[in-house]
Amino acid sequence: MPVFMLHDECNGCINKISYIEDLPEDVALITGYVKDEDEDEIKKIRKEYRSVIAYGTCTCYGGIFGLSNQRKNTIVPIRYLVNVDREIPGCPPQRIMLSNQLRTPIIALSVCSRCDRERTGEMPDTISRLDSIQDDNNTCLINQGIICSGGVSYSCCDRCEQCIAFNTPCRGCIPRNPNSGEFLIDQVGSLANKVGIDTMGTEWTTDMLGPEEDDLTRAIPDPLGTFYRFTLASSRINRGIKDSFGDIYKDVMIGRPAEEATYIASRIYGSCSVSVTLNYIECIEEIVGIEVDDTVKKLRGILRSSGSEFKGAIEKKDLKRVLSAEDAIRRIGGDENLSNVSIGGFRTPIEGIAGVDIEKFDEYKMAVFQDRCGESTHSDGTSKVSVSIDGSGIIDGWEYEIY
Amino acid sequence: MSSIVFTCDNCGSGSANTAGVLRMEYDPSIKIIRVPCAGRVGANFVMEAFSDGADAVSVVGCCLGACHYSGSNFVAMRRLKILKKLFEQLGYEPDRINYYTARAAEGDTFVGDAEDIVKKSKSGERPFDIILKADDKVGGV
Repeated sequence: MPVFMLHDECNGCINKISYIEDLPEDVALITGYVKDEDEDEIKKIRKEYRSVIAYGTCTCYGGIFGLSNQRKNTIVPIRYLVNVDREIPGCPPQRIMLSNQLRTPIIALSVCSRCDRERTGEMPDTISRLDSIQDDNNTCLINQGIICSGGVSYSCCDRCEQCIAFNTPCRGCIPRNPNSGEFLIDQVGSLANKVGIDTMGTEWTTDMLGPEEDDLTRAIPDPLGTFYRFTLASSRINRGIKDSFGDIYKDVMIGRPAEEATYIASRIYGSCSVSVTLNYIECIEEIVGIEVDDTVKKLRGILRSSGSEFKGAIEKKDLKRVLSAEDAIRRIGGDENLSNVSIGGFRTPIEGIAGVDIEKFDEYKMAVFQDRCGESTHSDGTSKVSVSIDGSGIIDGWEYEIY
Repeated sequence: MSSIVFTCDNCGSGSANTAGVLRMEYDPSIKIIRVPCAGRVGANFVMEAFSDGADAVSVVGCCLGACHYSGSNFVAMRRLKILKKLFEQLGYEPDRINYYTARAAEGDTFVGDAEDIVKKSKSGERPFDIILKADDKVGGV
């Protein structure tokens, strides 16, 4: 099966498909994000092959890289350019999804239907940012006031691959609808019933929505990255007019809240994402002033070496080593997007690592922090990350280097 | 130039009606869409209006605390507040999204709202100029 990738910033999806054998020869697989300018090239591929499969959320909906449309980029969902026979969204989609989709489409379930948390139906008093409260691991995140895209997203193929299994809210990498962000805004608007909002009087004796910051906007510092994380390019308002920084990673990362950027970095850096994410987390810990426990340092050390093993195996194209390194990353990081990793520690207890006691989870638990500004640089053998955050906890400077 | 105004069935539409009965005038660029309640207006209504070429989108509902259902005007306000912030992030003018109240018995409240909407619809960049519209291109398998 010929695989086409027009933009090779992230190799997360192509790593998943490069080693699969005995796939049909007359089916083309397109992965990676697609720009408006690529129309001719995509149409040529469409003409040459009997059928075309779009693989990955970036191709199907614009994905995280679609967030750079905020800064005048021109990423589009592939179906705006050509008709595709199958769309396999996911960030990245599991290997099993490709082989399943080639035969019959899987029955899609929403994330909520496969989530173990209890729904209380309570309206939250406040909306909270991800790492500003410690959740109770038992109640639905939306009832606790943490925004979760579970209701507007399909579940990943594998239950234990879901972010929600590691107490990380879903951000909707498999949207149920190209405009799922808008549905989530509606949902939050209805549920945040007790959250105060700014109003002001008018000269003609009526009231109107005020322009000031209020509890709602303070709690949602980045609506674009929260509601439209994977679907900006496919939504109705799909372009912004801010100036680009000249680098797509910078365009994506700048403007995101510090606590959310962990899960963005772990998805967009492909085979280097483990190293970039851990470096980023260490930067934030230095800025915020969190001292981590020795257990956390040890676990991160193991995760780092699995990450570099994974990268080496990808370069050598050794499937056996790739799979074993992926398993090693999963054991600590939860899933391959490192949903279990958080600032200050981990989100769920880790089993099966020598010297790490599940009973002593409090020692390596994630940290709760308030915003603080500053800048920091951290590096390891694979990458170097410099980040600066402003007073409200938003990233305003992002530099990276991959060795 | 056109500004879409979603008016709620009770106060917003009532007030626009009263303004008409009293032969008050407001700008002809105001296009009214009647909805059962301000809480019916979702983000997708607003975004669709913008992508179809509206210069400004507003919701006119009941006075604060006087919603004919249980506080759904605040639901609409919260949604619009999030959208305002989203517009700011994309670089557009957040003033183009607004929520106003009106009183059904007083036509001048709606006329005042309409004048303000028209004034605000001229500020900043037109959001839909560079949006890629996919309607014609999207097809089946």
